[in-house]
Amino acid sequence: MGSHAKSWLLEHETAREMLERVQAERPFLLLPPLHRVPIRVGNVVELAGPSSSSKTHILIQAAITCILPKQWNGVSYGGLGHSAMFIDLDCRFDISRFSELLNHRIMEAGSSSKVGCHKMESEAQFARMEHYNEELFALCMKRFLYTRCYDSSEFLATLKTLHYRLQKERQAHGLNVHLLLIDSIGAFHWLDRGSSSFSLEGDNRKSWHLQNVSEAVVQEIRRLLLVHPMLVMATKAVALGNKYSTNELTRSYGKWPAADNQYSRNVTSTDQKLPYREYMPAVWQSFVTHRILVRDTDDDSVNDEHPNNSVFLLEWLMPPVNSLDKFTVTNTGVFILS
Amino acid sequence: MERFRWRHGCEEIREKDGKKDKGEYWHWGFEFLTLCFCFGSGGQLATTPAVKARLLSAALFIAGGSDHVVLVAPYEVVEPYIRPSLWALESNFQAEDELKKRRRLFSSFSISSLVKYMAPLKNLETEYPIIDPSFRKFCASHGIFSVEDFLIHDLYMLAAFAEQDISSERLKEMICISHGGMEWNCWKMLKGINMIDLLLGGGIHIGQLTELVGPSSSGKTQVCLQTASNVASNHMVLYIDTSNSFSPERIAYFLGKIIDVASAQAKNQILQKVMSNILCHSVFDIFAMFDVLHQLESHLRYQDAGGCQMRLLIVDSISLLISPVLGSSSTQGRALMLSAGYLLKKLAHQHNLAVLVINHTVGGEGGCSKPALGDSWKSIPHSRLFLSCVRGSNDYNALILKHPSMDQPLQDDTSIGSRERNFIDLGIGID
Repeated sequence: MGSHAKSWLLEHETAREMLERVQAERPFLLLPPLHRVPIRVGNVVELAGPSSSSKTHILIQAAITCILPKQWNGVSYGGLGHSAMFIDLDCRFDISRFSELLNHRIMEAGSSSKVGCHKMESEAQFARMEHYNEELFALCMKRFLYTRCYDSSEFLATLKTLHYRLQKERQAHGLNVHLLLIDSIGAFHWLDRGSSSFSLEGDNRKSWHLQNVSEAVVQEIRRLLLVHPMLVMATKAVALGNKYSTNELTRSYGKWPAADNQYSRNVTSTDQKLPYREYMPAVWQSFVTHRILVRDTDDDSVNDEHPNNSVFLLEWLMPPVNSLDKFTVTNTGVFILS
Repeated sequence: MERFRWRHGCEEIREKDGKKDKGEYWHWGFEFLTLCFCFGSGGQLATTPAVKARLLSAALFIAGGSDHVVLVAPYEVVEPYIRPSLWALESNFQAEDELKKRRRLFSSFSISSLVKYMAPLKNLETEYPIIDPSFRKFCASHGIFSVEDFLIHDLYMLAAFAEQDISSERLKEMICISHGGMEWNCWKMLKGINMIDLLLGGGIHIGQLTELVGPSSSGKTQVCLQTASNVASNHMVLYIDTSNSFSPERIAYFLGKIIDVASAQAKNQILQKVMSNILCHSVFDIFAMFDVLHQLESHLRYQDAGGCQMRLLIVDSISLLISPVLGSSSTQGRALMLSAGYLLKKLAHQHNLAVLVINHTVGGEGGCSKPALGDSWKSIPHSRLFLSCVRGSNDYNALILKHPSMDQPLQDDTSIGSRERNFIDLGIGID
């Protein structure tokens, strides 16, 4: 009995060793433009923003960073080499655009590494390079899992069967899913609110209310995170208040008659109140660990290197960081401007 | 044999302002089943909630003593209840406890759409023998009567409650049943239709929902007609017309410009073929549109892959259908709008259609116009195109508001910073 107790008290590792191990297994991810606050597997990040403010683009770039390998054939791509799962609730995902972006990233990484060494003169080298790129593209696309749901019922069914699907992927390809991307978690909000089904009084029957559906969704994701530790990133479409409202037509295109900067925004938001109206139920709000607000700006003055692309503004709401990041999106990724 | 006869009933309501509203129903009953068909007054949107409630309560009252009531009603009568779910009007049955327990209602929108989630588990038994009576009894004891309930519940807790003969294997199989397979349709094909193709990067995408916004008489209908005439030469087109704007003469005019066949007879033949490829439906409220779309869905699902395929769906003025619903009651209206949008996207993706919808503009802040239907609609279409007419000339401007590949740098160096193109000749000029 005494030896049992003693062996129970023996230490397995020190705190420092534990920290090192955890850092290695679950490293902090610094994906631009979310580089201010380190996020890691197990966090739930919510990207809120009005329509057309590059939220889906950020998700896509995060997915690409996740599925690219760290190094392949001597070229370093700087990716994580894990799988990513994309649940499309908005049903607006464009796979041709995704493959275009992936190809751009592969080619850019390939060409930037070659420039340092030597010029690619021979045809054979070029062909080989193309072949490698295609192989890598196929490898990466295998790691990108996609599913689309038109309904809350389909979404719930997907979440419930996701565990078995991920398990199958792990057994078949040996891939771990590290990223769960949900496009527009609030997509079915109005549909669920509108469907009021009365429950029979006295029966212990759950009715299909918004509350019950959201609780079921959060519970399923929580369960999933226990077995498959992942980073969850969800976008949410919001309508900003009057101060931040944008009308797409008043962008400064010279010929456009109504182009005046009357409604350009004040970008300082120092109050802790949310600049938009929160509509997700409380169970989801408490599930989210990090919250970000992105929006579009008219301000093109800082945009010297990428004159054709619009600038977006990113603000960390939770945990609050007192600075705003400006970034722009291009084919090869997200670039921070200031 | 009185109970095997069809019986007719009628409910009349006199509103506070003196208007009378009427609804009628026909019902036929057997021991455990009652069939009840309900109709609103003239099938109009104007059927008030009061009439609906009365109709439905009458239907339930008739069905006293039945285990099951099948309520078949057009959209107008069950309009607030978008999802055909199991419900009961509690207020009518406060006093009748035992009736309440046996009351199960199944409602369906149209003949072809019994949504698979709402069906009771009993119906799935033939297809999936795993759902035998003992499993159903177990489910019923936890308040699960349909697949929908199954989705809301916590399965691991259920497994913990399960008795010996219900193992977690069964529950797992149950989950797989409720989850249909998701297929991936390749949609890389683009359509080269007209000059707007350049702006949209090659054409209206198949599998995506494109929206044309613009103030009145900015050429939206003309763009649709020209698109339809271009596509109809090779594929079928469904034109859902809400404002009687479909004009065969215009189609013939556009065709006349692109066909360069010498003989008038050959031209006529081509014209006949094109006209027969365009199906035009006039709808005047959103429920009729749902009906048309559901019929289209079942038709596309069961048609064989030969012959002329349908490739284009045009909804002329979806805003005319949705705006009346949006104003009346906020949640129902928005839910209807979003379910219409999702249905269109689903049709586009699963059956490889290109969907083109037309929207109007309303006044926004500062006097400039913005697209109608509000913020919730903004996230539905894949691409949005704003058309406008330059005053005092025949020119029309087109501007992209949203596009999946919008952040691509423009190939044309002369238009840096501008995403606008002037089309001098969209073929819309005054004859």
